[in-house]
Amino acid sequence: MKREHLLPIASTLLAAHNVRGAQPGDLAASLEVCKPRHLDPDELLCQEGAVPTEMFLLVEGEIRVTRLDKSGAPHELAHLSAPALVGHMGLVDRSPRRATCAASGEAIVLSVDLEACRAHMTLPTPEAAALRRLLLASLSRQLADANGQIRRLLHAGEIKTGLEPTKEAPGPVERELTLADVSRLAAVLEGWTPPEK
Amino acid sequence: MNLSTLAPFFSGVPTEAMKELAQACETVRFSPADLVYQQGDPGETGLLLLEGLLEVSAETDRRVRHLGLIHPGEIVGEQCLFMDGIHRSATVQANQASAALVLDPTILSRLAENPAMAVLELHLLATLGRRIRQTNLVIQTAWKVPLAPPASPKAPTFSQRLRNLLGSRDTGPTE
Repeated sequence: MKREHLLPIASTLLAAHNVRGAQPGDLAASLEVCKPRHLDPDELLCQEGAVPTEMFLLVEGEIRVTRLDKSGAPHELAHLSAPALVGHMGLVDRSPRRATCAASGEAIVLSVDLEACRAHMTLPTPEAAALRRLLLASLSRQLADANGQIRRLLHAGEIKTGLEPTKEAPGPVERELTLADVSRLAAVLEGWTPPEK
Repeated sequence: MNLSTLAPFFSGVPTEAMKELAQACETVRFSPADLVYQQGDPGETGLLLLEGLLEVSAETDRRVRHLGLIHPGEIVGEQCLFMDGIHRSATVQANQASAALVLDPTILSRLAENPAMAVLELHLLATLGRRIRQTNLVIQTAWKVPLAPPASPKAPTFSQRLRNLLGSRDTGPTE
């Protein structure tokens, strides 16, 4: 794709992730190698367990994210809206896809080859720095949000009865977290907005 | 001080690039017990520890938890370098006399074409990826097995495992 067409997408992505130290023009240049792809409703983008070869930028439409639960049934983790990074963990850690992504209506994604992207990211150029910093900001946000979510879950998992146990209030009583708690945490950790409770 | 020896991820970076990085960054010194970062404060800088030892702790549920130590060659507080609006998720205090290179966003912008900065950012990406993967492993295990009480009284609950995980990576050592 041409840089001028990618410039508004790059600007939106950098703004959406509050990225520091990266210019839209540099990110747009980094994304010139990407290929646009149109998705029909329910068309599969990636499959849980598959080896990743591409990452995606969702530029139009929505993506439904599901993961198989312990019974083997698909469980919806999140709905992604444009602009969003999809499948970028495969770029960072080469791990198999942790969820299945499919278009929930018509959607457009830009696909980026992971090997080419990895090679590009090692370069000491402003263009490569813009891509690295977008990913760093995205992963930092994921971790910060997951940390907050873990703290909230831990806090909610205890019935507060005071710091010092007394006869009337014998101390914190723990409950085990539910699958819904875990589902929300998994989505936050991947950088997805979980569905409303 | 040889940064490549201190932080092995810099090995292979040209000497000139390392010099430029070291000269661009201010060096800050801490006495034992000095407060380096306070949990909840807005984050503006990260530190590459050159010498000494830093201690990380966080307050959760009105209890202070010791999270870990930062050794020379490790980076702390890096999340705010790449993203606006980050607050410190933990408190960092000098455990002994320490010195660190201050990394700030203006240096990132100035050194976008410096190979040492590229290597530093790739190292941080790998570190963040590893932390996310570790957390995901715990979650995926819970996802695939019933969230029942532990079989033996000594086995940790999922809550305890999450707590341990939080302690092991929350603003802790990056390597």
